[in-house]
Amino acid sequence: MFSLEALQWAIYAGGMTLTLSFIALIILRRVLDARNRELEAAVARLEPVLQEWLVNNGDVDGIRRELRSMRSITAFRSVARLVTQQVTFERQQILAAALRDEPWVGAILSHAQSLLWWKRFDCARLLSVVGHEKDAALMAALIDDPSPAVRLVAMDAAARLKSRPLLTHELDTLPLRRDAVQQYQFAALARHPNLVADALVERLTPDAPLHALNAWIDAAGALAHPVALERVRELATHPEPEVRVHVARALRRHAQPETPSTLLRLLADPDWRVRAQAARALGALRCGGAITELMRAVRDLSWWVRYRSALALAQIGGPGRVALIELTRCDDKMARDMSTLVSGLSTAAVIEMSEV
Amino acid sequence: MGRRAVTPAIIIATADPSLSRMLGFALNQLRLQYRVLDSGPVALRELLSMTVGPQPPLVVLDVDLPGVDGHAILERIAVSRPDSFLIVVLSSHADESVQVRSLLGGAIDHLAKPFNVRLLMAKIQRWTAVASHLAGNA
Repeated sequence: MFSLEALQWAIYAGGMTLTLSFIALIILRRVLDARNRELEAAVARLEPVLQEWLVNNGDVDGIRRELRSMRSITAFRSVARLVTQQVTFERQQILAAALRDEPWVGAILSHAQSLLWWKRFDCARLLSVVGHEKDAALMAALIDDPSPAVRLVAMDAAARLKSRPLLTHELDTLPLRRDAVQQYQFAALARHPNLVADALVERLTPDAPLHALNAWIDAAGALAHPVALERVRELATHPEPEVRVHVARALRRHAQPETPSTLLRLLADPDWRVRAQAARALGALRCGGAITELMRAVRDLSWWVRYRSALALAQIGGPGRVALIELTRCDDKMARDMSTLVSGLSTAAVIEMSEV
Repeated sequence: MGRRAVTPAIIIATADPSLSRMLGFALNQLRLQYRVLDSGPVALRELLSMTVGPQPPLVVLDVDLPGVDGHAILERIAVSRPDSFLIVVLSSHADESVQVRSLLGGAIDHLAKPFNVRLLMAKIQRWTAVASHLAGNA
């Protein structure tokens, strides 16, 4: 009897919970729909003013007035939707100066210490559009935020400012980031190439910690700054093969007279990973003087070295392609197979595969 | 007899409505007629079947198209209808390899988003003037 009554109560409670959850979902859906409608209406109002400013060099005050008439969160979301997609970095600087002291900006930035990560995320996103020198401390705090999403956006925001302490802080935390995050960080750092290159040169030393050194070499490669890459080239004789792999990869962006000879030395490295990256770099630099060595490398024991060398010959084009066809008739079956495979690729396919 | 003014056709291939509105606004300022194609398959079908006069239309081709991406369209046009269009590629990616791929694939320029719309309009005016001049000499 007792158990039957308990079962009835359990069914009743379960039914009530389901009904209440259902009602809550309906309410939530309506709230979200209303917010989306409000945002779409705000974007539709902001878009013509933004177009006028961008196309006809109109008055930035029009944008400021339109945003001021919106709720803080709607103004922020409209800016995040339109400005980051349509406004170049240079024009964003003008917009930042006009909007930084607006009340709605202050309202969003007041959430920088919030316990909710998405509020801190919004704060970092807004700083990536309107950030100012006076926000440097706030940006530095957000770069070290526990949430990776907040950290990523904060890095982008920090790159708006030409602040050496912020950029060096980003460089020093670079080795701690995952590869995908590092790629994102490189793009942000590239906005101030000279400042970053100076900081990199100080760090690119043979005695730097291995993991950090590899990350900084990659940063120099992504930045393609000649001064930083010249320092990278000097690391081509580093005793650690892992470092030489990163050096060879980075040098594909260093189109300087000394680079081919360095890469040809790396093409004869005892480690196959270094040889493969050296071949890739020679191809990327279209080193016509490396055809003989690359033809030899297509006969390498390692599949990757053969593959990269054949792709490099295709990238060089003209005489490189002729060399590749010559290899399709050579006495080495492995080299024959590889050159036959690569010589059948289109130019677009060669470009695509060389980058992977 | 004065030379007849030719209104060049501009084709915008993008799935981003905000971007197509922005380009439409800018092209209206220049009094240039344009048409929007909003997906990869539609853009590919239209570009392959479109009748083209002596002056090649200018195509603003977004790489990030649903269905068939802009680079695939560019490569197909280069094979099936070479020299029929002047194509400028827009992409969220500014990597060297992506830009080289666009240019070797037959594009006359590659612009990374967000791009300077005033600069693009100046380039469009120049390209259409050159195309018109070449068409007049042909």
